[in-house]
Amino acid sequence: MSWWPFSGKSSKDKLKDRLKVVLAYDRAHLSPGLVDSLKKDLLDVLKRYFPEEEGLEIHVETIDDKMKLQADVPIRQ
Amino acid sequence: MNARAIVVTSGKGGVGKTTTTANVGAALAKLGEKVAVIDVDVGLRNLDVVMGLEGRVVYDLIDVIEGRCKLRQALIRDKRLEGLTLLPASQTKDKEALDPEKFRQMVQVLLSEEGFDRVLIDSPAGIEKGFQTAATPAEGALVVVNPEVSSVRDADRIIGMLEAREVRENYLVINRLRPKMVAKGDMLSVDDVVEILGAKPIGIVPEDEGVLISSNKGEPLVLSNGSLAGKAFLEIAQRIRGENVPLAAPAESQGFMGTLRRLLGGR
Ligand SMILES: Nc1ncnc2c1ncn2[C@@H]1O[C@H](COP(=O)(O)OP(=O)(O)O)[C@@H](O)[C@H]1O
Ligand SMILES: [Mg+2]
Repeated sequence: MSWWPFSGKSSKDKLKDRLKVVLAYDRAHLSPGLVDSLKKDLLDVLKRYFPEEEGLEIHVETIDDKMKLQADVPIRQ
Repeated sequence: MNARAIVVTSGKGGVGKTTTTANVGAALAKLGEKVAVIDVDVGLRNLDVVMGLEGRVVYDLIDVIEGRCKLRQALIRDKRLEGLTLLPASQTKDKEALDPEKFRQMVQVLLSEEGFDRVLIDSPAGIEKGFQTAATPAEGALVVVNPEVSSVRDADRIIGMLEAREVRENYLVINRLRPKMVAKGDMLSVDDVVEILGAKPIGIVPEDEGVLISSNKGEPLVLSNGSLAGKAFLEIAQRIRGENVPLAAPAESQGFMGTLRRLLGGR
């Protein structure tokens, strides 16, 4: 239960998180494995262009029923 | 709902489509509508036994579609409930035999010439041809979902397909809810399901052994006792008719003692 801070997530909260991710992929007609390899490829490309940069990151965010692929590319000045 | 032709569907099998069709159909009839319930699960006929009308089946849907009998000859009027009529599926023929366009026309005839107020279509499981055909005449849908992982996922898929078919008046029937498990955090709540699927609920049906007993007897719940599930199905029918019946999840908080138990027992 959510009122009890130490008990961790209930099984239904875990299910809810999983379902949200699964449905986002379903709705986007994407398979999670495909997105994973897309992430790897994108990272490789980014590393080619920004070989010096640390902390390049690609992540998938789901907001409501929309899915967003985000690249974090810190660029040093 | 404005929709007069309503498909009852779910994607996943065994979640309560046939139960919902039988009971909401009976409830609508009880409220005074002239209702036809149609079994489109060709090859797996079930609505007839759940409603207790199996002994009166002579002709079926495919016989009508293929012109072996007149529409009226295949319609079975429920003698216990004025206004309730069943059109059974074929148990033997191939499901390919059901032509979607002819099926649409037949539903149209029921609504415009045979004087039915409402047609409920019990869809087969799956997302393929059987479901697609069942959805062809539909203007709206009752998407039956259990608060459980695969059912919710399949419901999402079905809702997407309904929208793609331009079936727009889609509502969730959340079936087999177990309030105690919800209270313990071990089952998705009504709010969770609604949030995840982004669709409107039209009814919440608790897990109720009365459902099985009523199918055993072939007596729709709304005909007999005041079971919780029977009440839920009646309320769904009222909401379909546009009556303003507040939607309340069945006793999710377990009252004072339940709260106390939770406070003491952790979860
Ligand atoms: N609210 C409920 N409580 C208890 N049992 C239920 C409930 N709804 C459905 N069932 C049972 O679940 C089984 C599957 O239901 P059914 O309506 O045949 O599903 P479907 O048509 O989607 O395959 C049946 O045995 C039915 O009695
Ligand atoms: Mg069924």
